Amino acid sequence: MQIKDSFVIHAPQEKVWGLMFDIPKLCKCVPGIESVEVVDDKTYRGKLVVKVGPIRSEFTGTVTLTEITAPNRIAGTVDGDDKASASMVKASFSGTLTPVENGTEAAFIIDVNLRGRLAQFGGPVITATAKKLTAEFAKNLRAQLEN
Amino acid sequence: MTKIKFLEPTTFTEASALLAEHGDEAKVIAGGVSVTLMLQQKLIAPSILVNLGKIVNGDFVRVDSDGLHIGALAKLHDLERSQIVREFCPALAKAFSVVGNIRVRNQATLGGNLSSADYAADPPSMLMALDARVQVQGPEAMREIPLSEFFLGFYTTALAPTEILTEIIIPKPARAAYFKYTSISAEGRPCVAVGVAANFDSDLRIVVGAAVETPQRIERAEAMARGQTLTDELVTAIADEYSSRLDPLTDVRGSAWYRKEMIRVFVKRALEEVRNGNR
Repeated sequence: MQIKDSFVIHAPQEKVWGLMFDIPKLCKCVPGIESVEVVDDKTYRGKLVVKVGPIRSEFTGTVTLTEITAPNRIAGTVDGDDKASASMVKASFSGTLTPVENGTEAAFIIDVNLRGRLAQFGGPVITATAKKLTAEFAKNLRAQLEN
Repeated sequence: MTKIKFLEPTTFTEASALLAEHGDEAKVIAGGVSVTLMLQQKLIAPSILVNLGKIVNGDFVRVDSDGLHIGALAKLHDLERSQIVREFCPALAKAFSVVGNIRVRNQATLGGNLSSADYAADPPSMLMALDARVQVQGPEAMREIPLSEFFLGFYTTALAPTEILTEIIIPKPARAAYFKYTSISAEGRPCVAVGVAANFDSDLRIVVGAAVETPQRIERAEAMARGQTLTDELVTAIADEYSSRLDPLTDVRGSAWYRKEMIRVFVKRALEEVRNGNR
């Protein structure tokens, strides 16, 4: 399943790009991140909590960056699981930053492969949840960068 | 498996206080249709279940001057057979009678059905078309929420974590219709659900559910009928408007494109039924 979204931040591209590698600051922007550990400059391990209605899932996993082209493109993979619901997620993502009038457009594409019990909720629930998380992420990024 | 503590309050106020006391650890269980499924699949792992089954008179059905009042703990099967519900609004009894199968309806409560906010459900669309509202009990106070503001998203409602739905209040419609379209099996969940309610003061409400994240009205399309006779042309035009303006989802029960077509068909049939006077 593919998730695509984009948003505009009223800040210069360099500043947005800078935040992408300021892990503590970036983590404050990602909704549900509970911990992140830097393994090396391309590998991060972390824990993410996602809530949909009464269901709370806690994913632990690894993010590996496979492409870093400053200051406009980043790509990588995610590999994680939620032990309680026996669900596994594998994803590949790419994100681009493009200068636009009055700021920077951030766009991303994520190819998600979710297996296990959570997968039964199907595409619509996952897409809607991703949209909500993205909106919150964008709001937090703006709060960090636009001043 | 971890042991679950089972608490059995006898009033809604007490139940809500227990939720406030135990926070995230506690979940409410009524008929148990959705909660037991989630427990069994280990999607939730509460250490405490607050069972509403011991609450006295939580399943009443009565008609007051402002409409039909249904206690949240009323079972769907009892409601579909209730003489009071059938006389008040036959289409509502029909919406209850097509949920899942007899075993599900014998267990499922109306309050549980609404609170679980499963998008592929029957009662929400009919009740929203009827302009129903719900009463909810918090630890300190009760409040009323119009059903149109109750469903916020997939499995998400306007209920605060400590609030419990206690009662559903439904104003009397002049006429109403409910259509459920299933694409997989006769007793399956709806692919498209359409509820329509009409009042003589030219107020027409059409709600489409199960095909979208939360039940939806297109007020612009409803307005086309204001003060008009529901001719075949008008019915078709309203159905087309619903089909083109809604953005349906794709799941195992049908693709977005297919649902758009089925919305067109079933909005039309529901409007025809309301026009032709079957209730």
